[in-house]
Amino acid sequence: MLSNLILGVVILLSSIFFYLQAIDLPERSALFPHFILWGMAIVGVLLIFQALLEVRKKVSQEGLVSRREARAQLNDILIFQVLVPGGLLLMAYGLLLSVGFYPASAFLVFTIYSYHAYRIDAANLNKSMWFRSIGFAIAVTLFMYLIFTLLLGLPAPSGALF
Amino acid sequence: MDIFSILLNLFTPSVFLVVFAGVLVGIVVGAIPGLNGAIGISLLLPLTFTMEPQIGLLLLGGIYMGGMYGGSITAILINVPGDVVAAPVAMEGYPLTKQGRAKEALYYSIFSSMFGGFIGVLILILFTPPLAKLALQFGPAEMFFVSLSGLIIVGALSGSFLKAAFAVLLGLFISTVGVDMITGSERFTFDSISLRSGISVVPVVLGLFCFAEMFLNIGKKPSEQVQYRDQKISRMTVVKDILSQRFLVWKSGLIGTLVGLLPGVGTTLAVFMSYGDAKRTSRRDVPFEQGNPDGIIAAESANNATVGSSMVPLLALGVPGSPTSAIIAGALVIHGIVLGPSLFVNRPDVAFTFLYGMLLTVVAMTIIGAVGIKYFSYILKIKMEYIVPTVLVFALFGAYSLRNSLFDVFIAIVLGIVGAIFKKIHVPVAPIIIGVVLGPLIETNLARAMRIAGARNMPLWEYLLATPLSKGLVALVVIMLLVVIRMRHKEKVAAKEVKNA
Amino acid sequence: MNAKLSFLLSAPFLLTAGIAQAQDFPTKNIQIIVPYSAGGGGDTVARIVADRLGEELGQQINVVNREGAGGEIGIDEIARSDADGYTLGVFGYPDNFVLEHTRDTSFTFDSLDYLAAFDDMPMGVFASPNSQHSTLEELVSYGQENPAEMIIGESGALGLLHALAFAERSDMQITPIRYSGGGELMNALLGNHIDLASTSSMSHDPIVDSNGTPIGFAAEERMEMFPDVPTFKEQGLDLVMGVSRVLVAPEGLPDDVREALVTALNEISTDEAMIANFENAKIPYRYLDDSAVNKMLEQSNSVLMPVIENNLDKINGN
Repeated sequence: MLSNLILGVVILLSSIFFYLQAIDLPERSALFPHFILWGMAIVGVLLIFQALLEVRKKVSQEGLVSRREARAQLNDILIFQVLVPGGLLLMAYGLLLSVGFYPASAFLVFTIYSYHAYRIDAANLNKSMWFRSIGFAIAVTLFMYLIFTLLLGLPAPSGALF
Repeated sequence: MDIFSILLNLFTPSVFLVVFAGVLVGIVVGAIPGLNGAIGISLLLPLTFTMEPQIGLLLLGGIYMGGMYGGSITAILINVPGDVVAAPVAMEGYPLTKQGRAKEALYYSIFSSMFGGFIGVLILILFTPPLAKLALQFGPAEMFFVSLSGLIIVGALSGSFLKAAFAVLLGLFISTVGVDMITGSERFTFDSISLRSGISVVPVVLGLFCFAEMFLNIGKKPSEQVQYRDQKISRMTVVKDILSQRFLVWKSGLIGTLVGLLPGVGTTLAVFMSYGDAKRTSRRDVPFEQGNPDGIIAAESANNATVGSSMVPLLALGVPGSPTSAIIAGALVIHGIVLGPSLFVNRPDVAFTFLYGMLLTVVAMTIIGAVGIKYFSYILKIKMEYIVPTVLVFALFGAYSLRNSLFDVFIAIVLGIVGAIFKKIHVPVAPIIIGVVLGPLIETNLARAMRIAGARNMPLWEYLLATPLSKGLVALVVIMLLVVIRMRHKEKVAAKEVKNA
Repeated sequence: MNAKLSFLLSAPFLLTAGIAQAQDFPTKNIQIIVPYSAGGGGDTVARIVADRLGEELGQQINVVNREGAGGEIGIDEIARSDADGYTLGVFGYPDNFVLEHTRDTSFTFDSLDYLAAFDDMPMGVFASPNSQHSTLEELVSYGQENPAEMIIGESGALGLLHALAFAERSDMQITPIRYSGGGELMNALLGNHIDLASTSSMSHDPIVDSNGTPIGFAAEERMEMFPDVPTFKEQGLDLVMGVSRVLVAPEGLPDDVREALVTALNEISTDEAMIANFENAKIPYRYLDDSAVNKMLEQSNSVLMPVIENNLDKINGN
């Protein structure tokens, strides 16, 4: 499987990278990380081997088609269900740093809610959805403010404005 | 005052009120991803300064007890463990939810918590002095072997062995980031002050379990979502079933008690150990990680059992055994109560009220849990479009609250992205948690052992095997290794048979 | 970056704000950052003081635990925060001083404004229950005959420094071993896994209750709380080293805000209920006001500096 091959290569390369980082450390500090990184490198190599062995096995036409489908599906998931929401969260994190937790929270709820609706059906993005989305974002943020800040007095991450 | 009149004092409205309030707060903070009992306790700590010491203690004890249980609710219903210790419960409980058996899974969780809680507290009441002595026997050598046996558990989880090995190594690696505890040198910090304090386990859990799970739920149509079903199942059926699993609940409670006793090892290890053990001995036909109630029983009874036992070193020696009990010790200190053997002589009222009052916290937890389950499971009626954003912002807040650190929030987000990818390419995430928890224990205890052996002029292995206890633990490690190898072998054979048939 | 942005946004109002503040600091909740996890000595001091100081100032004071990297993370955050009096810190001096001179920290001693000190808790050396040594003399003669054989456990920046100074001044070699917290250290000592522990006088009761022996305290004179424990000085070892919990603000407080805080602190310093809380917690209360604390710290810095310099390679290398 391609994903295993990539995983193996990534593991191998990053263990080499971090191994080099740890070379200057005093001996007693470097011992344990070196041990772990050796282990990771070995696992990486074995994963690559395993993936290559599987590629060499003959696959029937049907298997090939279903495998291609699975790969397309995986790519789809990676882009729409990992990278996009991950990016939204990172944007919320940026907002959190600059303007504070509660605006970031409202932003995140609003965007994730709308994105969820969009992913189900692009036609969902109509006026009433936008209103629901805004209303929900305000409601959740207000609720959190009441519970965490007013009731419990927990410190919220504060930005420049709030 | 004799014990009897102290016990009579327990049955007052104020005690009941405080115990119920504490447990309820505990369950709520436990269920919210990222918040846990320790945070709840430090929140309500100032409140206890004005209370009578034993009442204040019971409030904190109630939060501790409730917090251990609360995490399992969200774990079972939406596959988001509210706390680290609920991770194995998510692995068994959520599949049950998908099969429409959410209520049943919640019953398993609350009643196992009840049994575990009682076992832990009863052992605390009956055996505190000898257990405290036992806990002191664990030096660097013994702790090293205990942590190793924890690593072996990873082998017992299902899935590709290579990927599980990678996951546990990744966890171990994450644990080395930061200022090295032993030498004070910086490792993999890239000159960032935030990385110096290391990566703690809570943001890792939030990222890998909570964020990742929510990402993959985005875009799920209401029809693909797990449907709420009012399952007809009586509480007694579940209790009977728990008790009919031979020694499972007792054994798990005992594992929780013993491992929870060890300072610094903590509940996480106890939970995974007893989960791994349940997998080995389960007699049900259902494979693990596909909704086997035995996994829930084992994990939940173990984590509530640690509540009692982590107090053992605190009460007997004045040495806090877990971060949570350290905060409780701080609360006592302000009341001028000195912990240790003299507590039972100087302030028997405080000591005994607290000990027996902890039994009440178990009762309160059971009542709240057993009655509340009906309402908890209404979460399943809520549409995914509302759950996903809400859980995400709560988790964002939770990641911050642990150490009031924005960097922790960032780590949780990054690991959320990584975790979602891992889930899709079938890299198991539970071993990463085990690695992060055990990494520092293995490293520091081995380093200490090397240092002591050096000072005493003996070879390392001689120091490691110096006591009967450490020899026994080595034997345990070897046996566990053999068992795990056999288990994997059996699974392989079974898988082949399925293929052939 | 936050500070800059907020400065830009508030610049037009700064003048008026400065005048307004004179009458009514504080107008909102204050937070005290504690660079350790909840439950330890520093945290306890912060909570006792926050409780009483909040009453005096008429505003709620929240204690925020910001642990990590031996206190460095939290102290760094105190030093970086806005000097408006709404962010204060409580920690155990000399953690900041030791960190500054043993690591590459971004704060220095002068990044903080020291407003008060609340206690004076000496470090001490304790022997394990199985130890054959109960006095300093026995211990030192054994240590000199068997170099590096005795093992001393320590935790925290000061714990190691104290252990090293103890060995250096008594002319022996001992092997220090690091523990991540006081609880873990006591557990190792009481289980006889190490021979000695270098920790503060706060650990006295639990150690003695389990048959450990206090060898001595690094104090000028015997402590009122523990009159039976000798000082190192009276046993012929010149070593005085201790923790003092200080209340600090970031450097550069407006004068009127500083004045308000100092007045309030002086006011509560004689509060009996607060002092009783210190005594209950076995924390030896000693209040120093803003001028006395700076004098004490300067003197202490000059004593500590040579110890740090002499042991720098041991601190970093082992």
